[in-house]
Amino acid sequence: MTEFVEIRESAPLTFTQRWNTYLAIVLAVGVMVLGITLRDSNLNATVTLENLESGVRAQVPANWLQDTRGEDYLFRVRDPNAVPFKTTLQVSVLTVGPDATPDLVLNLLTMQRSSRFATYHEISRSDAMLRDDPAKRMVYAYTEFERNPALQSLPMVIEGVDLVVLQGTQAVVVTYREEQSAFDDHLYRFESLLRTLEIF
Amino acid sequence: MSFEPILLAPEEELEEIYPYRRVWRTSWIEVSLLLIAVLAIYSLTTIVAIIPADSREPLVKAGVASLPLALWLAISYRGERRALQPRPGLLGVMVLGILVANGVAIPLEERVFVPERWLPAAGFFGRVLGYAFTIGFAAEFLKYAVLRYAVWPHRFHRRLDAMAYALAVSIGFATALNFRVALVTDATVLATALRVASTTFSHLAVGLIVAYFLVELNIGRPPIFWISAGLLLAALLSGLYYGFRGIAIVSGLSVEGTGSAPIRGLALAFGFVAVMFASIAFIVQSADARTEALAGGRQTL
Repeated sequence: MTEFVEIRESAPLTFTQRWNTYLAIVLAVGVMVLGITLRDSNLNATVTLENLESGVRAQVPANWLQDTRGEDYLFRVRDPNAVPFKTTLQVSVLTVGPDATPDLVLNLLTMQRSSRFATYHEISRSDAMLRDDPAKRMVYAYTEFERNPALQSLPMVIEGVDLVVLQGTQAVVVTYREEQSAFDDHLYRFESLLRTLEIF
Repeated sequence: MSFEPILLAPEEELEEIYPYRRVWRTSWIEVSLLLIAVLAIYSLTTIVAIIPADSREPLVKAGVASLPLALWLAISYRGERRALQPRPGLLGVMVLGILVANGVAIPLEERVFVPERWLPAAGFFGRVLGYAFTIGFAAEFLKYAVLRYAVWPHRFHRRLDAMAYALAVSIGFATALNFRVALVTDATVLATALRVASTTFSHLAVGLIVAYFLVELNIGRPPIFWISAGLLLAALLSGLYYGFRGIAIVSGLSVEGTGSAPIRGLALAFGFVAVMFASIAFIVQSADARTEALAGGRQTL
């Protein structure tokens, strides 16, 4: 009867084998860094959107759906891959009187939205700066219902933030809206938009 | 007076007993049976309509996800146990494949690389390179790490040993990904079946490359960047597969509408694993013949 006996070789690795192992680990670290760089360059790639008539220019995420033909905004971009709510960034301009303040503009927005959005309510309001201009920031939330009855989904809680800055007789409103659980994760999009926003 | 010729029976040649499991034969059977099972699910859903097209029964999906592992256990692993000289530690390597996929690859994909947020929007070359240098490389490096630190070099006596262990770790790796698709996503039974076949076939196919490079490091005298080259090649191939799969399953725009052609994705996955099995089998056979010739075992033309 043949009996097979396993012999575990304990011979040390050769120079080539050792260096192959080291280089594989170095390569793994290098490719990991390259992969993250590729991800970042794709995720954070931006394109310029501008409205010369209103004098507003900003960098918005590339590959997002752009809409420049809305009635109540200059431009709006939405993430087509976001689920369940399409992450939204929006810039709009309102004509205001000489005595207007950012607070008054936010009050006006609150009144308009209370009738448009279900369970709309303001969460907080704080002072902010946009470059050197004083601004006002408001966080709010509302619920949104899926319009397609076939999907039979529960209502979503949408969290939003507005930043209002006055430029002469114009109030520029920068808006970010996201499903409540992902709001903080994608808030950097809004901050990036603010950093690149030019009002001229 | 006549003489009857005396007929002598030729000396019976004893057939050399092959003491190991025949890796390619069992792997072909597994791959073919998985293809048949997925085609059956496709037919029952789209042609006969016995399975509802929107069926998302978790138990059925889990059953579909476990099919590649069940086939491997029933055919390859059982065959290994019945062989005269079974390869030890095969089950352990498969389990390690599940663990590294579930513990490292899936969190990397979901929390670090998040490919679904940027890869689908990229162009063909962007998708190929993006996938290769993120998910593709991570998967191949993890499979390499399992083989390198669990069974290499003391269990890699022959080139086919490396293939057997690589297929085991790939099955484990694919199983973890399959269960994630079946239980975490909202995919239908048919979509799960197609995804399971695609994932399993691609991991089986690409996993062989690193195994070949590893066994040559044990047997031959390759350069010091040999394994790195193997890892990059494997990652690039998985990226190419991902890129072409995107093209294959999108049927294009027409006046009748738009839609996907999942059966073309299945055909591509099967074609990929078939080409890789045939190519690696040929390379292994040629390398074995060359080694034997160099050792003076037999002459080759």
